[in-house]
Amino acid sequence: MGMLILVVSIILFVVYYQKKVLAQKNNFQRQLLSATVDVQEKERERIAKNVHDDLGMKLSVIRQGFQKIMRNTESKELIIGVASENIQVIDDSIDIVRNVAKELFPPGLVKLGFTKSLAELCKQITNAGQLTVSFMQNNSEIKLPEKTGLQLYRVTQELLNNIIKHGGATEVRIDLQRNEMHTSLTITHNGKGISSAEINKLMNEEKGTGLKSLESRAQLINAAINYETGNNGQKPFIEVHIGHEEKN
Amino acid sequence: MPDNYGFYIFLLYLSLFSIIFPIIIGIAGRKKFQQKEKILYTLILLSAVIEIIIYCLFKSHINNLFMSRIQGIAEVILLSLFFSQVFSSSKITLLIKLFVYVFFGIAAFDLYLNGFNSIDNISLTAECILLMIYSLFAFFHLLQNPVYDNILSAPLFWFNTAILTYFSGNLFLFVFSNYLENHFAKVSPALWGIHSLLNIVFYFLISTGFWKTATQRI
Repeated sequence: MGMLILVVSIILFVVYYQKKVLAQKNNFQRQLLSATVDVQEKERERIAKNVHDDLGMKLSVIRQGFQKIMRNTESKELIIGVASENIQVIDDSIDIVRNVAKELFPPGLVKLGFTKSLAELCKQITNAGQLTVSFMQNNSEIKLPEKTGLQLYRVTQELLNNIIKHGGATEVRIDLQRNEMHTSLTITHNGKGISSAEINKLMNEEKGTGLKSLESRAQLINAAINYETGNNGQKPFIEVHIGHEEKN
Repeated sequence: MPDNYGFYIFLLYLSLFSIIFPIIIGIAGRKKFQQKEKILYTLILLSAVIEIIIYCLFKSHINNLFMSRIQGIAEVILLSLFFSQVFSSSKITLLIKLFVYVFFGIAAFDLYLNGFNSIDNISLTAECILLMIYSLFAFFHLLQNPVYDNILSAPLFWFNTAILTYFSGNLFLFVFSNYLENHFAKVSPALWGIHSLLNIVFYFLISTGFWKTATQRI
């Protein structure tokens, strides 16, 4: 009789536990969704501001130029002068449109593929002078599916951004490794590290929107992000791990 | 000779051999063992050695009840270490240390009261109660920190179920063991049959825990 009660209690424990896990998972998914929407809205706001302030202003300048020409159709010199000014303003506008489009979707990802785009990103950051980013890969033929490549690129961008902003690093090394079982991207740096436990704590707070967005992107490609503080003389690192059997 | 004596003997041998399963699975999955699993594996190996010694003493017609005292102390020490690892809190570790010292006191009192060559039912009862408390608290800890997506794939769940089932089942047996040995000799083999059955269940559940550890994804 006692044993029967014990068995029933253990079964009830399992059922209750699974219900709790499910509720926790649903709650976390809701938080991730909300964070993703927040990030998207912020991104749209930023792009709208860029388009309105920069592109809108340039177009106004062009409009004023044409109005000036219309008012003085007989002065050839003025027409040439305004037209050449407008050409410059149009060139600037094209640059703005290019940059906005680049931010929306890095064109290199489709043309060059993930690894070359990532190498290009590292070069750009290094050239900016604030941080030296080196990129290594175990296989020069690493090709990722487009969706995986885009999300991993975004995740890497955000992680590098966090390392610069919060870690205060000056040197970063990115290692991309791929074998039959998995793809892993490890970012080692000389700044202040953070552990997965601290990340989980931050994610549970209201302000961890960027981290939730990262987690959401990682979930889209079935990736796991592991944060290590790097004790015992080891440098801090972040590993993004994608198991191939779960990728599609 | 009591009824079903042959069946109880069969159960006894089966329980002796069932210890082989966690040992084999432990060897296969040892690379993935963490501190917790290493402690449990040490306990299993130690139990195997004690079982062999008990069997040899029994065959040589030498009283082997004192081995139960050694086994009880080893179980309390190793399982206390195991649960210290599970809870990983300095306050709880301190409390566990305190429990172990209290248990040592009870074991010494039992030795004084019952003598060396009798069943140590007082200390065994204390051991069962102590390990049941640890185990129930570990279930509570699991509920408070639901880190596993599926509890049935968590090695700790199987280890804890093994400990709770074995020690709660044996609690009754140990409480009444000396009394039944002395007054109802005919019932005694049935009780030791239950003990063998609990042993088999214990090793089976521990084997499942080791298996889950070995097949766990990092």
